[in-house]
Amino acid sequence: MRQMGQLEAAVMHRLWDWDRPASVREVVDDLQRERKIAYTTVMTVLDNLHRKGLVHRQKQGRAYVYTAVMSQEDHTASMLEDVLAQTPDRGAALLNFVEQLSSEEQVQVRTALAKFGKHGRQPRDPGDKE
Amino acid sequence: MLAPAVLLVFVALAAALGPRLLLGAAWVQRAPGWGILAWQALTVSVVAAIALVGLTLAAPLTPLAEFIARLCRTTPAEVIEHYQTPAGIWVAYLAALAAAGLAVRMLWLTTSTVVNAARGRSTQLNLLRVLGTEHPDGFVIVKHPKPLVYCLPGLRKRVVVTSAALEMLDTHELELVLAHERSHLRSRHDLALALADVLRRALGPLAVFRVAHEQVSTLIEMQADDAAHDRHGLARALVTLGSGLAADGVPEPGLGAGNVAAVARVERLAAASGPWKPWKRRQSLAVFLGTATLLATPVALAMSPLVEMVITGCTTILG
Repeated sequence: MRQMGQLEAAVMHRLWDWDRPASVREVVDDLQRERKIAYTTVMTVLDNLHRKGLVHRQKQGRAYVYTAVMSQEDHTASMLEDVLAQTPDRGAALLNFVEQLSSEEQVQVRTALAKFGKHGRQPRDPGDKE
Repeated sequence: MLAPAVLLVFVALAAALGPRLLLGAAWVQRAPGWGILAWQALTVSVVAAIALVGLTLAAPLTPLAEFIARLCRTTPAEVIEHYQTPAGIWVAYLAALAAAGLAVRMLWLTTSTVVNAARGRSTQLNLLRVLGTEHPDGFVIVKHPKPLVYCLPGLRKRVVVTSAALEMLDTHELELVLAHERSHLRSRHDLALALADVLRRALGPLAVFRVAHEQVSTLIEMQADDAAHDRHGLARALVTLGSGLAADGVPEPGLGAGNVAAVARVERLAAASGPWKPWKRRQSLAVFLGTATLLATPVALAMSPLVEMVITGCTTILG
């Protein structure tokens, strides 16, 4: 499963770098400079990527040619949209460490942060001190 | 009989007083894990009471009365006598319909919440496979100008850190933030949040469910904050990441509920850095007993006519 993920990444990075339609053969040839890989394996990987909506494909002659649907940057942006969207309806799909603070809240948290100094040096577990 | 009316009084009291009590209680933030339990128990007991209002009103209907009679080893006629209302049988039909409606709605919302969360996560995981780089410390790095750290709960759990976040935090702070995220994953905070979310969506008009959802989302963050061994360091990281998002000049539309939580979290971490009373075992016991009582009350109220029935039955035999 992990192997598959690495292959998908390797194939996508090639399509992003080339930025043009590429056939399975071209991808296989390029990958084979680094490792031994079967034509059918790459075909399966591209098929998976197509199913997941990451690549377009077009019939050219008897074979398909593949292109990345979006640039790497756009893909990252769309993935993080879910994280950045501050809607309570996001549900429990993911948990974000901290949301964007307004400028007013930034002042508030900095004031709170300044309170740390008042208790002297930070002991390792303050809960134990009474 | 009296059961539906008493249950309604319970709903009104719990929905009105419960949130006021919990919002005012200092121990909720002191021990957020127990706080989460208390909020969930409060909302679940209110939902249970609402459902039981329907069921007790519907009890005189023949199939239900027969079922209860079998459970209690008595006759349907006896059950009908004890649960009958002066309003007549059509109220029983309406109540049965409403109770069934509530059950279907809850089931539907639970399913859609689970399916949506799973779908959102699988999209993220698919994209992460091609966009992310594995870090040996067990998280995924994604190249992005905004500093973000988040986790994907579930079976294929992941912690994601953007390149910008990696640059802004030092090694020590990163370690603390990772401890926070791993605490979320370990404690399955997503499930606690999903329950609060389903109840809020099912019975949103009642304020208690909206407040509970908001409080549970804050308390899971506080509980995860406690997993980091250095409060000051974690608070610093929180302020850095919370302020850093605006660094690229993109204004964020709308303000989420998470913001209020962030301020409360930093204030809590700062307060805890001073002399903070240790949490005692008897405090845990008190919260545990309180929540257990809260959960048992609606069931006990719904069954009170049956208890009365058994008692009168005994006295009849004895007499």
